[in-house]
Amino acid sequence: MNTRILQETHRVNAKLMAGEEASAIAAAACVDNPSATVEDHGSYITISSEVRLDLNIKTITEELGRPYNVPTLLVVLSSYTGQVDVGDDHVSIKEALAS
Amino acid sequence: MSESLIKAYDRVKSIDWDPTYIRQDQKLVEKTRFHLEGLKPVDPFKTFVREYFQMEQEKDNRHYAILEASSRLSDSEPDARWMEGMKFGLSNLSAIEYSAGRQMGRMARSVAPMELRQGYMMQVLDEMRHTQLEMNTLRHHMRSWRDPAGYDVALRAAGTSVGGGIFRAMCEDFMTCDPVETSLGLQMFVETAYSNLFFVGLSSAAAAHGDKMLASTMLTIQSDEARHMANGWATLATLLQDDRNIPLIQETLDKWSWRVHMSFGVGNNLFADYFVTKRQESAKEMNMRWLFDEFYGGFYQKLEKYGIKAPKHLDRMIADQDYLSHSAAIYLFGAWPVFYHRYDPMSAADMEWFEKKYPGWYKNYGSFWEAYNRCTDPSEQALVIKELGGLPNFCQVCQLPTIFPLPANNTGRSHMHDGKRFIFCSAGCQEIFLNDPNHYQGFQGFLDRYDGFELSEVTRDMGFVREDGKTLIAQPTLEAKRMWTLEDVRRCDYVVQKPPPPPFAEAA
Repeated sequence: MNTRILQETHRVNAKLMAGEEASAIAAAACVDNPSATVEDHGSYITISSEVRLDLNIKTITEELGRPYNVPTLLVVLSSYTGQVDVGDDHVSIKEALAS
Repeated sequence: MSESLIKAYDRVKSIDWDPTYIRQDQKLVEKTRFHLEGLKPVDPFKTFVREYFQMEQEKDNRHYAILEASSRLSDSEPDARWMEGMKFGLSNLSAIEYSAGRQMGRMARSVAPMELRQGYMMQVLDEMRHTQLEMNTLRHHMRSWRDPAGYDVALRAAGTSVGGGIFRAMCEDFMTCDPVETSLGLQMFVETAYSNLFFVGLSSAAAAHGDKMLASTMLTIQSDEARHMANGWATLATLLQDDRNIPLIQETLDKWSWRVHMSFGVGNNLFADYFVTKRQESAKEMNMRWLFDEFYGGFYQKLEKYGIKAPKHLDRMIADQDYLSHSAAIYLFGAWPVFYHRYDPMSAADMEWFEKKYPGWYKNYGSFWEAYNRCTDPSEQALVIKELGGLPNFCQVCQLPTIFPLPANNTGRSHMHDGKRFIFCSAGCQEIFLNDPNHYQGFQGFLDRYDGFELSEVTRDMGFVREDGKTLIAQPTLEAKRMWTLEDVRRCDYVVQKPPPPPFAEAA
């Protein structure tokens, strides 16, 4: 019986519906998160980061060029890996069950 | 200056009250074996009803605009293999979503501490939304796809077909098991892992095959799942505060990781490998990335410090990735007359790709496809199911045929319980049965119902016949000089028979 060691990972990510908003959110994420990477899967994009990913409304608004808010971000946030934390001006994805 | 929603949320929580018209013991008719007293839950998504509806309305405005545009502005026809496969694929979804809504209502009533209840109640509404989104997709496809037969019977088929039976068995277990188990099983394994892969991963395939409507449906459904995943994590984080829950959590994770592998897992892999023509990742590659590295790797690694171990059958689940889609396809294609879509057999190019991605594929599966291609013309009066030696047995628990990992080398087994012989596909399902035998009895499976029926009578009984009353909805190829009729099937003279049972085996 083979025992594959499950890869240890500390990456978290957010998956967003492709479009203008997702592109702005990805650009903002790269500004605010030094280890962020972005993958394009056609219908959606994945923004990935080490240990935590902060999506800040202020930075997104600057990238998008028009006012933005958390409820609208949640419209295009299709999925994520990690533990989500929703605030008034940000949505953060952190490592699950981090103390 | 509007008050912080987060602060307002905490204030509103304090308005919770105990109703006077019903006592707690009257309300909590369903018990849980988990320990919940004195624990401190945390709610990550602090959603008011007003903000919830604003967000959901915006989602629906965007999505239904796409639906509308897609009806009027179609530039090219979507891929037929995909659109036909989705008759089977989509039909099962609405009932699953509706069941999830019921499960959440049950949880909100019976076990939810106040901090978690709002999230569960929102999920009830979300699942009703999803049910309707999927029904609207079925209706859209029924109106716009060139062969609507199959889309029109989709919801009925979900209740009667073998595929429907697999998902019904899973949903009914969710609705009747320990309610806290429901949260871990549904929100962790289904919504965070497997349906996440289906809705997001396969949305990319849907778009690539010209089904933009379904891609949008899937992504907007999954955006609600973001809150459901958080419900699951919040429940788990709460339970972990009491050490007595640790062995109960382990049992639950072992059971549901297996059950979801043997339902959603099979479906995901089948669609990713057999319903597509524009190939990118194989099902195995997709699973290794999404499930085994991201989900199981990330998730279980965090639980180790609580004493929780990786799923009991993880080795098998990983090894199955080489076979799951292919063995499932043999069943789905082999039993084509009792389904409700047009099949597109694998081409030489498909087979070459499979051999590249799954070395050894041709040795295990090539002869089936050769036989299949000899049995597509109705005038030849040959049914591939007869060439295969008839239908297989089905598992008492998961309702799948006992053909995994490979039909010729499967882990099907018999077991005596209370003087009756039961059949299981695997040790995993056998253990689930033995832990709660009464939970998995008292219904009729496919063979119980149709043993002794000539095959065309099964198709007729299931209602999978076109409007002319004689042509089958299902056909073994996309194009045909002449379509198979009930009479064509009858002439092949295949009578459904329970096959000999598998040998006995212990679960351990």
